[in-house]
Amino acid sequence: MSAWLQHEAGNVVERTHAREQQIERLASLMAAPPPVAGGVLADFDGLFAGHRVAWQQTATGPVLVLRVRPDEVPR
Amino acid sequence: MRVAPLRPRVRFPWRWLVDSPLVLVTWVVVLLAASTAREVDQALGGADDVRRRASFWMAKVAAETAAMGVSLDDHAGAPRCMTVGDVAVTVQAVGRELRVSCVPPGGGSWSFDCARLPGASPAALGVPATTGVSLAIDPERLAGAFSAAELPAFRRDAGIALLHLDTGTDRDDFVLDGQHARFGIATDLVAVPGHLWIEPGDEPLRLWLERDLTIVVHGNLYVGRSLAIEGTGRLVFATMIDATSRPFADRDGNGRWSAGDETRAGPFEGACEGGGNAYLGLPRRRAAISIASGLVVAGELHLAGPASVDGPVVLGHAITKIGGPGAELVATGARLFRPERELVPGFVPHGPGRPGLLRHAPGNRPVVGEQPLYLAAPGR
Repeated sequence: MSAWLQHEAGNVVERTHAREQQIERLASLMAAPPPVAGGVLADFDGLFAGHRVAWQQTATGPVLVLRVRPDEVPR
Repeated sequence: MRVAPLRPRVRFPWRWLVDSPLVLVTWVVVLLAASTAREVDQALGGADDVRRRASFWMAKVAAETAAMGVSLDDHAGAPRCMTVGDVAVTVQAVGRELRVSCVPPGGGSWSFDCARLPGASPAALGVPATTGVSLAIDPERLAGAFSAAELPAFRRDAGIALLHLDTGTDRDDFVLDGQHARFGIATDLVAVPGHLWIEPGDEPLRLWLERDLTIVVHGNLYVGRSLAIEGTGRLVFATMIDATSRPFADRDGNGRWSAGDETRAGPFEGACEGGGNAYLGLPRRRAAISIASGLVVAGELHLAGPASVDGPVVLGHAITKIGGPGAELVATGARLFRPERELVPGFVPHGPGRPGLLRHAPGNRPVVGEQPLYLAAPGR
């Protein structure tokens, strides 16, 4: 039981660390976006439950937009 | 002789705790359980913190999307509700600002403010170094700017040019005074009607800026020592070419137009020291210079020694080294702007209007989700 709990806690820590890295990358992208960008950013899969982040090119440059995942069951 | 009273002695037999294997195993299990509980608690605490941060960034991305989609011509001030992903977003125009409130699906609410910008700043202010570009200063803004003659941070000095140049200068000279160099929130553009000097010294000149500041120099800029910025603002020096002076490449480094120098804007005329030029390091004092500001030079940039610049370096012409082979410029790019989302004071904006950078406004309560208890009905 204890070993299983420790294993699960390790999993949570590992996932938390991965999410922290994703958040840092997202923060740096929002602070300094590249001049041209496009497509869905797979790096952020799983960071926002049921959502994904994508680039959208606008007249003022690329903008990160939030979208509901298409494979998500509508509520 | 007194006899000591007899008292019962309470003794705890510590051996009980380890006497039996069953007790020992119990202790081990208790310690293991406590350790596991602590690990699980820490892991869940960390996960909760990351969940809260993820909620914030989700709200920020949604706020960005919503702000970019709002027409900046709408000054009505009525809140507009929309959904970005599953985030409920409300955008409201408040004066010259937009207030964006977000409620992500996981709970919590976040608010952001941003300015409504008339356009973008010049792209060159977002990269470390650009050559052959001249940036336009907004004449209307410049006409309404503070003059260096009326600010305590600047002093007129008739003798400083003769201290550092053989023949002095024809135009007025102003010195950026370190003792009073504090610029408040109201000051974002200053015009210097002459040359601007930063005196030589062993310690860097320290400026306190509460917001971004552009100092437009109508003559030359002479930087004699390093410059440090304190506070949240960023500084840009911009030299201008006007009708009374011409920029030139000062090949011999004597600070005035002389044989061998090259003009940069038509035939040379006007003040003998020219105008629109910048000197990092002075001809008689070729020290290493490090400035935490940006540099927009309409004329020629002269290097009297090694120099590093943290802000954007935008040169209308070229670099002339008057300090020998060691005079190199390093543009670190440590204090750049986001031209597409920030307005640098004094420079002419271009392109369509847009929201500025989002600022987290923790004190603002979102209006999303507020519904009247009873529907409004006409009175009978």
